[in-house]
Amino acid sequence: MKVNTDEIISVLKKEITSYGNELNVEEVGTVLEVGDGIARIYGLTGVMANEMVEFENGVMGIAFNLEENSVGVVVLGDYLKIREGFIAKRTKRILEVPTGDALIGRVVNPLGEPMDGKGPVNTKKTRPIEIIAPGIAKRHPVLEPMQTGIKAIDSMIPIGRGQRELIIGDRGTGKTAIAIDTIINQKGNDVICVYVAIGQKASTVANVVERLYKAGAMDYTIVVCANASDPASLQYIAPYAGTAMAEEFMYNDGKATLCVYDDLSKQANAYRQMSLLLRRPPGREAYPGDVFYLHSRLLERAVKMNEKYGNGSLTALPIIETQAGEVSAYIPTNVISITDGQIYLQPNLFAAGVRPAVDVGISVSRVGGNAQIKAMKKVAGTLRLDLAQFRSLEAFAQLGTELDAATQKQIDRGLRLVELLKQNQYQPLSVEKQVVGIYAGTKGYLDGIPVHLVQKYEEELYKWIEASHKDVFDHIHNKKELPEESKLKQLLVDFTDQFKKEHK
Amino acid sequence: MTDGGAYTYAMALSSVDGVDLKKTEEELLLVSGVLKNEDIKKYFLYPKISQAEKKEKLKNAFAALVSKTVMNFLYLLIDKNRENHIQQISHAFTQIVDQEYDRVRPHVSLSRNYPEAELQKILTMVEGLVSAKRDAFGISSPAKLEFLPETEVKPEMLGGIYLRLGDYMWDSSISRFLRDWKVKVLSGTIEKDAVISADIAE
Repeated sequence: MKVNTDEIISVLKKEITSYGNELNVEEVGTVLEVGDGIARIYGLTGVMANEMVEFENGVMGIAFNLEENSVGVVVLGDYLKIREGFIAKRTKRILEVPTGDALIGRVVNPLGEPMDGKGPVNTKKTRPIEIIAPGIAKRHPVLEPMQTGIKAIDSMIPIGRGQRELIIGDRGTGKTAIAIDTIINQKGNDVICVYVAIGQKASTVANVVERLYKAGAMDYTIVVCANASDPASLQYIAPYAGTAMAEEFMYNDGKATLCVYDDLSKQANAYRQMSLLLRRPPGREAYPGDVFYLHSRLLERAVKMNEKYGNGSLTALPIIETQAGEVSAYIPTNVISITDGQIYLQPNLFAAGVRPAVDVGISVSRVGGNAQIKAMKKVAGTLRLDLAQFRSLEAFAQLGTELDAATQKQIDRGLRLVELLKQNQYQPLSVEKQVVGIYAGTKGYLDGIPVHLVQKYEEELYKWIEASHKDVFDHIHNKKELPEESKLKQLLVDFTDQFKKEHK
Repeated sequence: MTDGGAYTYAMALSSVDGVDLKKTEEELLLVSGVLKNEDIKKYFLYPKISQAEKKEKLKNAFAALVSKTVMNFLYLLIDKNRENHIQQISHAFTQIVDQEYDRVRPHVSLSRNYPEAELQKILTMVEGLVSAKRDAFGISSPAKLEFLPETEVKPEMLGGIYLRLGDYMWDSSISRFLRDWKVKVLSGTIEKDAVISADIAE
């Protein structure tokens, strides 16, 4: 960029002319000690909890511990550049992040500073990262669906706009994949998505961003990134910063937004680190006493606003990583109790090729049922039951015991339904396709199809309907209801016969 | 001992009936100045020397120089094993006296040495500034302030004045101005309007 020296001289002249016109007295303190991302400051007597503090080298911090003789400040940046005796100034404002349209498509750190090398984020709008969640009077029940594009979830664990649905599972079970698919599926739905990566490898985040670019999802997505190498303070504020960015669209434009926090267990670890360094007393698993509040105040900000307040929504998809399937650990139980349901991913299902590896038996959505479209509600009603029955009978099938016809039929149906619910990564399905597919499965049209051909059947069914009976999809898409059932049945009979002939 | 502990001792001494605050402050400064000496510190820290012996030494050294109240206070410090905290207590006592007599101790930094007359002018300006903007400097007393300024030369400031008063700071140095400018330039927050209005002003 060519620097226009005349412009700079001109502005300098103006600044010099008006220099000293205003008396700007600042409240300050002196750094007593600094280490491990924490600075202890003498002075700053009037500082407020959570207020931003600026060190003389420009590094920012948050006043965390207000003690009798000193203030514990968490440094947001390189603490190695801060020395004993440095002056720290009050800013009299709590931490804010830039917000607005300029952030869409950008990868930023939790302070809103760009990390994608695409220049500065040109916005003047800011929002405080911490706000009190809206009260009951401003809220509306969760009634609109937030389609993930994943059959197993949209049919049995539906998520509504404004809901908080936890994605929980061991490492490598596909938690992030579900979140990314959900973001990709929002294309064309006028939903602003925020993906908050906390404590992850930079290369992992780069892959996710690349994937979002390829799917065209960065056109409506903001990525907030606090990598594993970033200070604990940044990892701690990242989800709040991401939420503030989404809230701008929700409160000001009345838009639907989706926030993915990947993952909150790492945020809790960062908070534990900060708390221990500040010498706050450790509790269970060495987490501080207010670790529940850490997550509850974040997830309470997920909301569906009522009409008077703009109709916007913020759907939260927090992710928690369990250790060896231990859901009764401290952080998983906390977040399970805060959220409106959980999608539980099982490593054994994942290893068996059931992907997404959703354990439908213990996964639940407490409020999403009301948000499901009528057509889906109708076709998926028996799906969970069929699968539960199949799971209980599955063991017999594995033993090779001779079974009566009814049991065998249930097992056959179950095998096909499990196959039907398998879905490749980054290939979210529209709800109309899901409805038709699941209808075919639950009504027994797949019973005569060999299990290994179920996915092919499904694929060709969608293509066939799209090519020659698109009105069926249009009907479901627009009216959210099933088309005339006799017509749908006839279509499926015709297609199934044709498919069977082709694949004899 | 914490600052709070020192303040408690100082507060107790200042509340003794009939104590002359300014005189006591001077006496404490004298004692703390002497006890600052490393060898004397070692003597008072040595555990094999009895408290009675330590008191005797203090009596011989200070009885003729300080009031009976201060002497008693020193004996109390020996009894409580707090004799090595006399500096902190003296500092806390000075703060109490400052508050009582509306004394302020601005720390003024300048970029170079000024002739005495000019320096006085600057300090008078600082006095006027602080008196006029008491709220901004966190001073609640409406009474006339007694100024006890300390000055320091910091060539890196390039020009202007840096004033520190307790927890408050007024930095009008050229180096601060340039630092702020650097931030503005780097963050791209220079307003186009500012350029235009500067041109019009010309």
